[in-house]
Amino acid sequence: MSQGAKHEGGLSPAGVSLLAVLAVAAMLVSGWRFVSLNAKLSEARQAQSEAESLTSRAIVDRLSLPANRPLQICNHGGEGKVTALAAFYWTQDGTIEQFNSAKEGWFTWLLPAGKTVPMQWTDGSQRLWDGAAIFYAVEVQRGTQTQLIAGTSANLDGGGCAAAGKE
Amino acid sequence: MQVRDAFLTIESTTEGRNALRLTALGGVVRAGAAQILPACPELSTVMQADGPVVVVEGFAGDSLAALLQTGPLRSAQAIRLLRSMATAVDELHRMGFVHGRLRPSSFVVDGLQNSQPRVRLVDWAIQWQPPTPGQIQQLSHALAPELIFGEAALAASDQFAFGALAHQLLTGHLPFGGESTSETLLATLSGHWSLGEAGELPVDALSRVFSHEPAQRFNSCTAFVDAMDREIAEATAPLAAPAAAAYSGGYSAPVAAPVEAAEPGWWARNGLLVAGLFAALAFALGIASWFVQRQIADVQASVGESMKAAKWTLADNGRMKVCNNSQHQVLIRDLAVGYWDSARKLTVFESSRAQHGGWTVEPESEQNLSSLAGPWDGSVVFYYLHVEQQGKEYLLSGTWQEVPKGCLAIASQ
Repeated sequence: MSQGAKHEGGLSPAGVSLLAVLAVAAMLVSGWRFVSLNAKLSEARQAQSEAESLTSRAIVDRLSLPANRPLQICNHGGEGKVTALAAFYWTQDGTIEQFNSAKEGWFTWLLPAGKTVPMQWTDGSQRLWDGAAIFYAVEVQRGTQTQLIAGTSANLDGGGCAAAGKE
Repeated sequence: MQVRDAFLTIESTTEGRNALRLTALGGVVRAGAAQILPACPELSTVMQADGPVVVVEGFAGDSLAALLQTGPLRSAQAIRLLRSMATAVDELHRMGFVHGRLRPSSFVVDGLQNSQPRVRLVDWAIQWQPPTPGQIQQLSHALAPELIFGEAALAASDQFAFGALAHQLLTGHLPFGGESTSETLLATLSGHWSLGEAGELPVDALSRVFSHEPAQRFNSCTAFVDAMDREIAEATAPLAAPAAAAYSGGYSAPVAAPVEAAEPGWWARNGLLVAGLFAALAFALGIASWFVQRQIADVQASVGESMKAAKWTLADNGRMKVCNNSQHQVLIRDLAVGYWDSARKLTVFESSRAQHGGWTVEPESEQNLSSLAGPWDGSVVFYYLHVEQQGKEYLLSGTWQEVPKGCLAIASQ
């Protein structure tokens, strides 16, 4: 003889009700999590759309910006020296970095008269800036006179030379 | 169909289905001896054949025996049906007859889904005769103790059998089990009846209807049905303890019937299914969430890559503005900027080449920079500033997009 209060599956009605409550609770938690994740996914897709837009713009910028060229100073005047230099250049991973001589202890470069001097900077044996530039600004000092030379790699003179000493 | 002695036996024309017609009995029942019993709408005619015969009006319906093969009924439905059945049995008793052999095939039911199903009581005799051994074997599951002892059938005997039918309707099982007739009869005499497997049983009412003493049973089958109805209704309170597996006769040990909230019968049958469906839904949502989470991770990785690539987006010119947050004047000696011109060509402006005298920025002030007489309107993408403050020189360079809040701090703090 079997228990009249038992469910066919062997569970009491209270057990079945408890199972049902647990199942409903699990469903509600899963549902809430699903909805939350969907909202998060929507936000992520929005961010993705914006990022892709930025990427597109970055690509346009990259196409608009000139390419790297080695920065050289053609000294058309007497002996002088580069007292300040800042140069921006493309890195291999497509970002733009800069070199600032003031951050390297106000490093200077000598400019012998009538010579062309490539600009680069090494720290011991390690070359930290190879002279590549898409935009540069250089201050050349002769005596008490200081000349600011700025430009882009697109308008460097032939051979990649920024003219100093020309007035 | 056949008419034999004092019994009218109705046999199904098709399995589980009766379609009785008076005309079908024409060859057997002798016409001209009819006696109308207007007090009993279930019975239309009493005729004299070889013995007294009650002829039941022809109608269509399902044998209760066939209905029972589909399993137990919901308690509310069972009570409705039992009430109609009780009306017929009580009417028989009121007219002074006793059925004596009530069994599922004694009832033909029409309109089970209705609030008041039509029930026809058949298979009974005007003059009761003690059951033969073969009939005892056939009726053993619903034979009242007094009939087992060979006593004459009473209305209470019908009530006992009616109780067995009620039990079967509610549980789908016979109250007195046993693998053999003798075991069944022994179970009946010992008063041990099964509670079955249904969700609820009106234990008190059934205990009373299965009493050994006919006098302890109900006054009528309708009273028994009322008692069951009340008991089931009263049990629709919060969950009760499970009933005992078997119950001995008498009233001494009432056992609470299992009760569930709104629709206990339905819940007992479908509760696990509902729980399973919700669990399956929860599982499906979990799987879906996992996929969504993976998509989020992919999208975020994609965003990271895109942002990295877009880090140096320089699409727009900034507007050159410097901030002197110090208490001292700052002199901008030299300035060079690169900016997009209207043809989107990177163009250079040099302050010295334009013979600009430089800018003096007062303490705690901001200043927009542009050439006083030149073509430069302050647009900036790259900047280079050589500034002097209190005899110290600084070289400021960078891209304008990295300048916070659109104002370049030029003073040393």
